[in-house]
Amino acid sequence: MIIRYMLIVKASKYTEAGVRYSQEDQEAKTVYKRNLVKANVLLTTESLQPSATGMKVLYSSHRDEPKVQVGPFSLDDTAWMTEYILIDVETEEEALKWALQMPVPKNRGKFEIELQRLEENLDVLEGTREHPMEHDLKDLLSMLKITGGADKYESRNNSVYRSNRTRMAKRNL
Amino acid sequence: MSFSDAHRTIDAIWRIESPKLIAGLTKMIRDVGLAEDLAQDALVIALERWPETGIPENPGAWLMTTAKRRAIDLIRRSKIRDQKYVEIAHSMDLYTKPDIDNSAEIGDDLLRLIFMTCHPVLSQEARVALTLRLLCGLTTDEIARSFLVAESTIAQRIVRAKKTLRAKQIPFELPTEEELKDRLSTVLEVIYLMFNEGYSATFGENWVRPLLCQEALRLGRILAEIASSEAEVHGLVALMEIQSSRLRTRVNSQGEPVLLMDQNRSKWDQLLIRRGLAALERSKHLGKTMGPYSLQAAISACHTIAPTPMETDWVKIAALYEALSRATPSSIVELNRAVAIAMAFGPEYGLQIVEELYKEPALQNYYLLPSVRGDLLMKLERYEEACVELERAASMTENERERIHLQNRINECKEKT
Repeated sequence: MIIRYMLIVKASKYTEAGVRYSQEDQEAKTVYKRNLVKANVLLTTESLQPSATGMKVLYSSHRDEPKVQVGPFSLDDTAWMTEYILIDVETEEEALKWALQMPVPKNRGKFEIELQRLEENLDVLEGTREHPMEHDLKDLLSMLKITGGADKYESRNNSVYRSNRTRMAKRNL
Repeated sequence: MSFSDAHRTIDAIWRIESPKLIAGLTKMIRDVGLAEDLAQDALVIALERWPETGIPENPGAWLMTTAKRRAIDLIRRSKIRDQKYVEIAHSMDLYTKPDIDNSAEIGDDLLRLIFMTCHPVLSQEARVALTLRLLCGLTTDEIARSFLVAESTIAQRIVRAKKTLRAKQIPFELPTEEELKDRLSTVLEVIYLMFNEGYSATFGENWVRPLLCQEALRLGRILAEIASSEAEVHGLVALMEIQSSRLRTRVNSQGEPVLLMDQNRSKWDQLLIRRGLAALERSKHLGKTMGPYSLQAAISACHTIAPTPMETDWVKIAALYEALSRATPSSIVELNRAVAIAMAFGPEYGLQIVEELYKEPALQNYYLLPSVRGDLLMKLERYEEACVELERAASMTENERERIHLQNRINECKEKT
C-alpha cells in the first residue's frame, strides 16, 4: 500500500518577514530534498510567499456574500504555510521518519511541521468490475425502456413470469 | 502523409509494438526499466525519421533493430565491463526479422512481462500502472487522467515499481506451477482492466484504444493455453471474446453509443461468439462452481444467443446475476440484478431490490440508484414519481452525456403525465 503525505512547514514570524535561511540551513535543506529524491519518495515540493501577498475569501455561510481579505494576516488566527513537501511512502511511520529528518533552521524560534495524509483514489482494482457493470446496466435498461410498450412482449414476459412461478411452486412441493 | 497523420500512425504503431519491444528487450538485458528507456529511444528516432522516409514495411522489426543498436551503443559507451553485457552485445541478432514465425516466442515474452508487471512484490496500484505503461503503451499522462490523479504520482509509482523489480531481482520468467494460481488472479484482474480500458474508450476521440481490447484478448488467449486447468482464465477469455463480438455495433457512424437493445445483431462477429461460447464451455467443464468472470461471460452469452431482444432468457440472466451477487457482492451487481428481475418477473420485483439499496448510506450519492428506480417506475407507468427520481439522478451526475440522456427521459415522462 502506498500512501501520500503532505509535510506542511508552518510560517513563522521570520518567514513572514522574509528572513532567508542561512547558507548552512539552505544547504542542509537541499541535502534533505536530494535524499528524498534518492529514496524515491518526493512527489513535489514548493515554497510559498509570506501572507502579505496572499488573500482570503470568506463565506460565513453559503447564503452570504464572500468577504475578500488581503494579507498580511496574523499568524495567530491564520494557519499559513511557508513550504510543502508531498511525499509518497508506504507507512505512517515512514512519513514521520522523513518529517523528523527535516533539518531545523537555527536561531529562528519555533519550527513546526504538520503531516497531513492525502485521500487516495487509486484503488482501481477494487472497481475493476464496477465500470463495465455500469455499461451492462445501461444495456439492460435500454431493454426495459423499449420493450415496455410492446404488447406482444409484455404478454410473453408475463408468461415467462408465470411459468417460472409455476416451476418454483412445483419445486417447493 | 501530413506531419500530424504520420504522428498519429506512429502513435498507433507504438501502442501495438511497444509491449513486444519492451518484452524482447527485457529478455535480453534483464532490466525492465532500461528496456523501456531503449524502446522509448527507438520511438524518438522513429518520430524524427518516419515523417520523412515513410513508415517502414515492418515497423515492429525496425523499432526492435533500432532499440538493439541503442542497447549496444549504451553498453559500449558506459564501458560496462560486466561480462554478461558484453556477451549480450555480441550475441545480439542485430536485424530482427518479421515476427510471423516467432509469434509463439513473442507471446511467451509478453506473458513473462505481464507476470513481472503484476508481480506480488508490487502494490496493486503499481501493478496496474506498470502494466498499462509497459503492456498497453499508455503514457503516464493518460494513465493519470484515467485514474484522476496527478501525473507526477503515476510517474513516481512507475519509477518506484521498476526499482523494486530491480532491487528484488525479480526474474523475467513464468511462475512455477505451485505459484501459478495465486499469481494468475492478479494477472487476470489486470488483463480485465486493460480490456475495459479499451472497451469503454470506444466512444472517445482516441481511435487507437480499442486495440487495448485486442491486446488484452491476445494475452488472455495465451494465458488460457498455459493455464488451461484454471476455470476463471477461460471465463475471462469467454467474457472478452463475447464482448468483443459486439464492438463494431456498439457505436454508430456519428460515434454515439448504441445500446444492446438497438444493436444490429446480424453484425455481431460470429467467429468471436463461437470462440467465446467454446471458452465458456471449457470453463464449465472443469467442474468447479462458476467464478465471477465465468458468470459474467455466461450472462453475456445469454444476450448473444437470443436472436432478438424479445427472446432473451431473462429468468436465466436473473439467476446468473444472483450467483454473481453472491460471488462478488456489490451495489452495481445488485442494480443489474434488479433490472434482470424486472425483465423476468415484472418491474415491481426489480423495484423492491432497488429500494433495499436505498438503505445503504454509502449509496446516497450514487446517481444510478434513482436513475434505475426512475426507469422502473416509468415501466410501471408511475410517471410522476419517476420524474422526481430521474431529476434527482440528473442533479447527481457530473457526466454530461448521462445528464442529457436523463433529461430526455424526464421529458418523455412529462409528456406522459
